[in-house]
Amino acid sequence: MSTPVVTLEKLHFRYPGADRDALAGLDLTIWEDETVAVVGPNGSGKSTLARLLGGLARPSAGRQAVACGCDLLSAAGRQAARREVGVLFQDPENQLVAEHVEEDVAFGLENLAWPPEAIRERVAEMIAWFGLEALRRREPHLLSGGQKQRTALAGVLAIPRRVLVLDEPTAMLDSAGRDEVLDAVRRLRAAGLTVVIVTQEMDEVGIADRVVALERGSVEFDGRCEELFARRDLIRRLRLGAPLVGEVALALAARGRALRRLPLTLDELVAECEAGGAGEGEQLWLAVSEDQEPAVGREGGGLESAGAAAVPSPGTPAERAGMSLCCEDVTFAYDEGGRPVPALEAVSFSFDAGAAVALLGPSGSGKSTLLQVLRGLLEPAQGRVLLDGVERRDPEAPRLQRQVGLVFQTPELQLFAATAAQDVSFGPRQLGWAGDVVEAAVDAALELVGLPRAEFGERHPYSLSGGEQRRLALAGVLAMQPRALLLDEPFVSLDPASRRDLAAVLSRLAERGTTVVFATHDVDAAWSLCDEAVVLAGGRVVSAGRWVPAQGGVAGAGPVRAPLLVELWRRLGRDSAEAPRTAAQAAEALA
Amino acid sequence: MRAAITQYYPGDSPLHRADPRAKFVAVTALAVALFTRDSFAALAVYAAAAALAFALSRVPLGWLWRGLRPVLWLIGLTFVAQILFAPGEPFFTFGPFELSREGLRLAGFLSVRLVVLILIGSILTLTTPPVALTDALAWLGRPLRRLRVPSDELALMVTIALRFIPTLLVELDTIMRAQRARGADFSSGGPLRRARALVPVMVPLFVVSFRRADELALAMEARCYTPGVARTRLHPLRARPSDAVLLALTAATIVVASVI
Repeated sequence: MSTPVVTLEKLHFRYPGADRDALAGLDLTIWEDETVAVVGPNGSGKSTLARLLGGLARPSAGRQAVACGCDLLSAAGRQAARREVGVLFQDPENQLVAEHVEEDVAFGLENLAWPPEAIRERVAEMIAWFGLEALRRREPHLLSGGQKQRTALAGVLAIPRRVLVLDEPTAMLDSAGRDEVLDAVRRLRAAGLTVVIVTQEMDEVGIADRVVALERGSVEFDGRCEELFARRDLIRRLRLGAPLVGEVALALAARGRALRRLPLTLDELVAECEAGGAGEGEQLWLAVSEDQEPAVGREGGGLESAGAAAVPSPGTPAERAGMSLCCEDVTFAYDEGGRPVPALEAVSFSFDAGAAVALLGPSGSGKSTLLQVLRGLLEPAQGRVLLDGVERRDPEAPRLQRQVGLVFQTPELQLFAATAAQDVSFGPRQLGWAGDVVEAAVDAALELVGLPRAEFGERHPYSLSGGEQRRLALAGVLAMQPRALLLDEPFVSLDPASRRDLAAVLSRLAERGTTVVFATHDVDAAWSLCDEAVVLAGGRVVSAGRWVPAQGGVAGAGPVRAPLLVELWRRLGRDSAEAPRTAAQAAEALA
Repeated sequence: MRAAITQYYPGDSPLHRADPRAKFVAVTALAVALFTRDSFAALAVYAAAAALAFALSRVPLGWLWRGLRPVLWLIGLTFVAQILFAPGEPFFTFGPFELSREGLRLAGFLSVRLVVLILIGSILTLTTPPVALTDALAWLGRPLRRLRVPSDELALMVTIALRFIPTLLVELDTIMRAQRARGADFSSGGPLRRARALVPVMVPLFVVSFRRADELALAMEARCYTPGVARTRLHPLRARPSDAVLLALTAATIVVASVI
C-alpha cells in the first residue's frame, strides 16, 4: 500500500494583480514511486503547480497542501519543501550559477552547509550518474542545451530528494538534448524517485503511469495515459502535441480506420497499419467526435484569410518572384582570438527561384554559418555567393542582399519596440521606404503571420505568447518583402500548436514563390515543406539537390536520419520514393 | 575570450597554488609600500621581487605585455608631464619647454614605479582565477558584516556576473547580427545617431537579463539558497605553510626596501 507524498485539497493561487485564479480549487494526490504527467494548455496553471509543489510559491488559500510532510500553507513548511522536492525548470541557461559544472552541481549542498568532504563525494556520485565526467571543469556557456539541463538536474538532485518536479524540461532543447534528458528521467524513475513531469509533448506523457490534465486551474482529467489518449477531443482541447506517428494514426482514425490504441512509436504505428483492423474482443480506440485536422491559427486568429492583397512595394514587378541562390566553393572560418576555426569547406550548391530547401545536418555542421554567408553578413574567405546570379562584389549586390530575409534562432529575443506594429516597421523603415509603403508592408506582414493589425498591432510584444512572439519576429522580416527567406531552426522551443501555425505560414510563403531555406534538426517538419535539401556535415556538403532519401538504405545512414514517413513506407514494403509528405497524405494513401 | 577580460592564465606554479587571500594581502602590502619611499634603490628591490615572482609564476612574458599595453598611454603621459613641468636646472630647452636633470630623474622614477605597480598587480590576476579572488575578498571582508556589509552575498553576485559575461557577449553578438539583417546600421553617423541605433540591441539585452534574473533567483531558491545563511564550499580556501612563507618573504622585501 503506497503512501501519499503530495496531498492538495481545494488549493487556490492567484498572481498579484491578476483577475482570475491561476489555480482554482485544485485537488490532487500523488503517491510514492509514481510518475505523474501534468498536461494542459498555456495558462492552465501547470507551471504554477510545479512551483507550488517545490515550495517556491505561496498559496492564496487551501484546505490542505502537504508535500513530503511539509505544510505548504506555512512559510516554514515551504522552506522545508524546498529541501524535499526538487524542481527542474525549462530554460537550461538560467539555472546554472557557478563557473564550472562541478561547482554548479555542488551549489545546493553548499547552501545546506554540508561539510566539504561530503559535498565532494556526493558531487562525484552525481557527475558519474548523469554522465558528466568529461565536463567537470567545463564552463556553462560551452555546454550544449542537453548538457546544461543534465548539469542542472544533477545540481537539483545532489540534494537527496524524494520528489522531482520537471517543468517542461525539454521545451527549449533540440532532439538530441531532449533524448538525453528523457533518458535521465527514465533512469530516475527506475531508481524509485517520485516524478512529476509537466509537459505538452505526448511522448513525454508516455513516460508516466498517470496523467493529470489541467484546464483553467483545476483538474479536468486524472487517470491512466491510455485513457487520455482515447479521448481525442481532450487531446485537441488541451493542445497536446502528437508526435508525427500519432498524427498519422489520428488521420487514419478520421478516415474510419479502427485502431487498437494510439501508437507512440514507429514500431507501434507499423503494427497498427499492418493489422487489418482490431481483432475480436480487442478494445477499440473509438472515434469519439467529429474529427477535423485542427484549423490552423486558432491561437493567433486569422490565418485562414491568407489573402494578402497586392501591396504597393518597391522593386520592379518582375522581381516579385523568388530569388535563385547559388554557392560556389564557399569556404569560411571564424576568427577566435587570432585562431581560425573552420566552419565551411568548399560548399557548392545551386537552387532556382522559388525552391523550398531544407538545410540539414548535425549540430555544429555549419548550417547557421551558411545562412549568414548567404545573407551577406559573413564574407567567405574563398568562393562565391550568387544571389540571382549577382556576386557579392558587384555594386548591385547590397540591394539583392537586402531582399534576402534572415530569421535567426529564437528571433523573439530581438523584439524591442513598444508595440507590435512598431517593431515590424523597423526593417522597412531602415530600407528607407516612404511612410505609407511602410504601413502597407507592416499590414501585409502581420496579416500573413496571423496577427492582424486590428487585433495585435498596438499590443506590447512581450504581452504575446511565445508562439505569437515568434510569428511577430518573422513578420518583422517579412515586412521587408524578401524574395528569399532563410530561417534558422524556426520550430525550436515552440509548443505544438504554435509549431503547426508556423508551419502553415511557411508553407503559404513557399506557395507564393518565395525561395525558402530552412535549417533545422526537425527532419520531419522539413520533409513536409521542402522538395530540395542540402545536407551538411563538418562544414562540407554531403548532398545537395532534389531531396531523395536514401533508397533502401539503413535508416540513419549518413549524418541525418531519414524522415519518419519515408521510414514508415519502407517498413510497410512500399516504394519510399513515393513516400507522403504529411500525416494527412499518409492516411490518404493507407486508407 | 574570458582570459582577455579577467587576465587569468591557467597553470600549476607555486604562485598558482598559493592561497588567494595570502596573495591578495601580499600584493596590497607591496603596492602600498611601493609608494612610501622615493629612492631608486627601494624601487629596485621591489622591481627585483616582482620579477622574481613573475618568473616563479611561469606565465609567458607575452601575457605581461598584454597587461601593460592598456596603460602604456598613462605611463607615457606621466613621463612626459614630469619631464616638461618638474622644477629644476634646465640643461636643454626648446620653445617654452625646459628639460632639467631632476625632471628627467623624476619622470624616470615615476614611470618605472608605475610599471612595477602594474607588474605586481598582474601577478595576482594572472595566477588567481576570478572566483578564487572573489572568495578571498569575501573572507577578508567578513569583519565588514558587523557593519551590515553583505560580503558573502556580494561575492556570489560577482561570481554570477562573471559566469554570465560570456553568455551575454554571445547574445549581444547574435542580437546585433540579427538587427543588422533587418537593416540596422551600427557603424555610421555621429555619436548621437550611433547611440540611438543601439536601442534595438540594448532593449532586448536588458529584457533577457531581467527575465534571467527572475528565473535564476527561482532556481537558486529551489536549491535551498537563503541569503544571510552561512554556506560551505566545495573547494574551501585552505591556507598552508607555503602561504606563511609567501607573507614572510613579502614582509622581508618591504623591510629591506625600507632600510636600503
